[in-house]
Amino acid sequence: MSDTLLACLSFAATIGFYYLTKWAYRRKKVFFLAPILLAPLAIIGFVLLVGIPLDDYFLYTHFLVMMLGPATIAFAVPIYQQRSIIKRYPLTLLIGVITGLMMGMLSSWALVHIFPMPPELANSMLSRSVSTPFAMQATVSFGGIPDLTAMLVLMTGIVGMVICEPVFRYIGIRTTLAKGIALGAASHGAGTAKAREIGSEEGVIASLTMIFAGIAMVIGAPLFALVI
Amino acid sequence: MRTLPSSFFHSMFLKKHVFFYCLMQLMALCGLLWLCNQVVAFLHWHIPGSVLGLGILVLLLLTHVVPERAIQAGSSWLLGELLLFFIPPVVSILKYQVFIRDDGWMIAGTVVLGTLSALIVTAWVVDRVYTLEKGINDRRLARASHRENGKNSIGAQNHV
Repeated sequence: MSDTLLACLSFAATIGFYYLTKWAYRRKKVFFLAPILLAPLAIIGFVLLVGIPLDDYFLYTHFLVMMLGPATIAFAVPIYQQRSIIKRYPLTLLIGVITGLMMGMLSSWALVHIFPMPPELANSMLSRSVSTPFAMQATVSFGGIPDLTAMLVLMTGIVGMVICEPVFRYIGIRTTLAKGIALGAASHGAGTAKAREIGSEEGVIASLTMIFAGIAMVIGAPLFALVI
Repeated sequence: MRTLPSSFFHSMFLKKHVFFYCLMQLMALCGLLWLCNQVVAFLHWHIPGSVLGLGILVLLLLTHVVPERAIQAGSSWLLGELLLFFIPPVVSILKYQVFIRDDGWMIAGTVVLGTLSALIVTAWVVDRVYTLEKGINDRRLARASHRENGKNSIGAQNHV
C-alpha cells in the first residue's frame, strides 16, 4: 500500500475509533470504555496490527495535534463564564493552584530520584500534572520530550480518575471546593471529567483550576527549570 | 450486522448551521494564534503564543469587544474534543517502546504515587483554606446585612 493511502487510513481510524469509544462510553458508563483509556489503546493496537509505519501515521494526524494551539486559546471562554466563582473564592483558588502545581512537580522530581530512570524520561515527568496542551509546551523548558509527556499526562489523568473517590473518602474530604481543586490540579482533563460526574460545581471548579495550573506551569517552566 | 444507531452519527456531526459557526470561530481562533505567535517571535518572549492568545481573548471578552456567543460554539467544540488532538502524540510511544520495556514499572510507580500525593495534599490544604475564606465571606455578609438592618431600623424610627 502507498504511503498516502496508509496516512489517510490512519487519519480515518484515529477519528473513527475516537468517536466510537465516545459513543460507547455515553451508552454504557463503565470505566474500561472511557475514551481516555480505550481510544489510545484501540488506535495503538490498530497501528500495530496493520503495521503502519509511524512516519505514515503522523503524515496527516499531526494536523490534529496542531489543534491543541487554538484549543489553548479556547480556555479563555470558561474563564470568562466562571468569573463569578473566581471573584468569590480568589484565595482558595490561588492557594489550591499553587499547591497542586508544586505538589505535581515536586512529587515527580522526588520520585524520579527514588525510581531511577533515563534523564529524558525523568524530565518529561515534571509537567505531567497539567493539561496536555500546556504540558507539551512546558516540557520543552525542562528538557523533556513532548510525545512522552503526552503519554504521562494521559496516565496521570487515568490514575487520578480511578483513585480520587477512595482517597477523598479515606482522608475525609467533603467540601465541593477541595474535591474540585484537587482533581483539577492533580489530574487535569480526566480529573475534570470525573469532577463533573461528582457534581456540576465540582466540575466548574476543577476546570478553572486545571486552566490556571496549566497557564502557571507554562509561564513558570523556564524559571522552575533553573531551580530543578 | 446491526447498523449503528443514529446517535452515533449525532455524536460525530453537528447540525449544519452549528457546524458553519464552529468552522468560522475555529478559523478566528487559528488567526488569533497565528498573530500571537508572530508577536511572541518578534518580541522574543518566553511564553508561547497560545497562552498570550488566551490572555488576550479573556480581556476581549471582559471588555465586551468580543461577545461570548461569537466564540462559544467553536471553543466548546475544541475543548470537548481535546482528547482527540493528543491521541497522535500518545501513539508515538511506539517510538519509545524501549522506555516502556526497561522502565515501565518505574513510570507506573512514579505516576501513581505522584498523583496520589498531589491529590491528598491539595485536597487537604484547600479544605483548610476554604474554611478560612468561607468564614471571611460569611463575616463580610453578616456585617453588610447588619448595616442594612441598622439603616432600616433608623428609617423605621423616623417614620414612627
